[in-house]
Amino acid sequence: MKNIFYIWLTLILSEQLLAVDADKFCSRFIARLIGAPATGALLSECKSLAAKDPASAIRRITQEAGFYEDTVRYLFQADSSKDDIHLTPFNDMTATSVGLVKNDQDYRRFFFDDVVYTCNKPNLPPYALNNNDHYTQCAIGPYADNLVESRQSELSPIFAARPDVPAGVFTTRGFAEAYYFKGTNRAAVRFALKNFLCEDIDTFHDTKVPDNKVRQDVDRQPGGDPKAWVNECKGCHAGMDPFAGAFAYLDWDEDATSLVYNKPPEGSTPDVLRAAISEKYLRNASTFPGGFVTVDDFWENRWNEGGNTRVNWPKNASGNGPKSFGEMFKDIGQMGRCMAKKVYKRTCLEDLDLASNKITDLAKKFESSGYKVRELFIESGAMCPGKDL
Amino acid sequence: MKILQHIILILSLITLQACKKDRKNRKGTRGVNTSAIDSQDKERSKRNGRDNLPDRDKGKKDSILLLKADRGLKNASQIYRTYLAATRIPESPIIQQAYADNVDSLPNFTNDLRGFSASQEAAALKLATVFCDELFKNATERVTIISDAAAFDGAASAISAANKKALVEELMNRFWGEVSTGLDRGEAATELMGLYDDLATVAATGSAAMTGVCATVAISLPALSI
Repeated sequence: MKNIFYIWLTLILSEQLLAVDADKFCSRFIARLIGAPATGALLSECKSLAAKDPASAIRRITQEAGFYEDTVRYLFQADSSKDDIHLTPFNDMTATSVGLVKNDQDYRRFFFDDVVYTCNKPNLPPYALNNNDHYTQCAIGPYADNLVESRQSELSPIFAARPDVPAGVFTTRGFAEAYYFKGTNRAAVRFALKNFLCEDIDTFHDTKVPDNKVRQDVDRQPGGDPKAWVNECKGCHAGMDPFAGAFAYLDWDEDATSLVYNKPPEGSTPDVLRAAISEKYLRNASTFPGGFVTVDDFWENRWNEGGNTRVNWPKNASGNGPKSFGEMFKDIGQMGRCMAKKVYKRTCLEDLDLASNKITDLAKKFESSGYKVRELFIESGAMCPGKDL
Repeated sequence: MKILQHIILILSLITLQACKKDRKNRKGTRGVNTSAIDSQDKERSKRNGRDNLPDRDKGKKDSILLLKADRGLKNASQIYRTYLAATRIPESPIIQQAYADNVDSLPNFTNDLRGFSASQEAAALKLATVFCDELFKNATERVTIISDAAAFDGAASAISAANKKALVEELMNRFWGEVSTGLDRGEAATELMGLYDDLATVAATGSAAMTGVCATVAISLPALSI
C-alpha cells in the first residue's frame, strides 16, 4: 500500500515538474509567432491546449492569419533580395512560399513545380509579369486567406502552352528581378545556395574541380597572377558556372521590368538554340577566349565529389533548364536542414549550426512530415530551450 | 521636464523588472561572456559545412546555446502588428504612413534584444504616438478602453481614480498581453497612474494625457519583447 502511495506521489510530482506554465508558454509563442500580444479567445484556447500538449497549442497559434502574414512572410521575404533586406515588397516569390506553407503543401514544390500563388481579393490589379502591383496591393490589410494556388503556365504568356518550363521560384518575377537583373546569372546560383542551403558560395570553394566549364568572361590571370585563378577564383567558378547553364534562356528586361524566357521550342536546331542564349552568357568573350561557350541550357553538378558532398546532393547530376535544376535542388539533403535552421531560429531565437543535433533531428521530422513547413514550426516550438519559462 | 523624467523612470523600472526575470531564467549564465559565444558562433557558422563540427563539440555547442537568452526583440513588422492589435483601430493611411516613415529605424529582423538601440526606441515611440493618438481620437474605439465617454474631452485632471486605474490596466492588458509577463503589474500601474497625473498638469484634455500613457506602455519592454 505504501509503495502504491509513493508511486502515485512520484507520478503527481513528475507531472507537476513536467507541466508547462501555460500562461507564459502562450504569452511567448503568441507574441513570437503572430507578432501580437496574447489576449482573448486565442489565449484561452492556447492555455487549455498547452496544459495537455504544448505542440497542439503551437498548432493552434499557427492557424492564425497573422502567423502567415508576419512570421512566414518574413521568414522568406529577404530571399528575394541580394542584400538580405526583409522590407522588400510582397511579391510572387514570397506569396508562393506563404501559400505553400499555409496550404500544408510539400514545400519542395517551390523549387520546380508549375505553381505560383496569387491573391483573390476583389478589385486588385491582375497578376502581371511586368509589375508587382497585384502583390503590393494584396498585402495591404489581411491577405493570408486570399492566397490561391495558380499555374505559371496559365498566367504568364511566356510560358503559355509550356507547362514543362515553369520551375517554381526560378521562374517567378520576384526571383528574376533580384537575380537575373544585369550580371551574368551566376547570382541565381549563388543566392539559391545561400538562401535555400544556408551556405554562401565561398563555403563550396573547391579548387580540385575541373574548370573547363567556366565561361569566357572570367580572367584566368586576375591582376596578372595565374595563381590567384588556380587558388581562389577557380574554386567557386568551376562549380558555379556549370550550374548557371540552367538559366541560360532566362533574363530580366529592365525596360519592360519583366522576366524574359527565350528558349526556342522543342526540336529546334542547335544553331537556333545557340542564338537564343541570353546575351549576358556570351559577353566579354575576349577576356579568355579559351573559356567555355554556352550553347544551350545544359547544367551540371561538379560539386558532387569531394568536400561538397556534405550537402547530400541527389543522384541526378545534370539536366537542361531551370525545371530540372529545381527538381535536383528539391532533393538536396541540406535543403531540409537549412529550412529547419531558419525555422528554429525564428521560433526559438537561436542560431544553430546546420550540423547540430537539433537541426538534424528537425530536418528528419521535416522530411517525415512530407516537407510541411508548418509542422517544422510546431516541432521547433516544442524543442525551444526554456519554452515554458 | 518632470514628465520626461517620469517616463524615463517608468521605462527603467519596467526594463529592470524584465531584466530581473530574464536573469532568473538564465540561472548559471553568470560569468559566460556572450560576446565570446557570439564570435564562436560566427566563426563556426563560417566554417560550417566545410569542416563539420566533431561530435564532441556538437553537444558542447548545444549546451552553450542553452545558456543564451531566450527572449528577443520584436521586429518592425511585429511592432506594427502589436500596435494594430492593441489599439484595434483600422489600418488607415495615417497609420500606414507613420509605419512607412519609421520602419527603417525600427528594430530589424534579427529579433536580437541585445541590439536594441535608443534610435530604435525613438522610432517605436513615434509610431506608438500616432497609433495612440488615433485610438483616442476614435470615438468608437476609445470607449472600449474606458466606458466613460466624458473622460476623453474633459479636463485631463477631472478623470476619476477608477477610470485612471481602468485606463492603465486596459492598456497593459492590450499591449503586454493578458497574462503575467513576470512584472509586478500593480507597481507598474501605480507608476503609470502617476505619469497620467503629471501629464494632466500640462495636457488640455483627458485624451491628450491618455495618449502619453498609452505610448509609454507601447514602448516598454513587455510590449516589445518576444
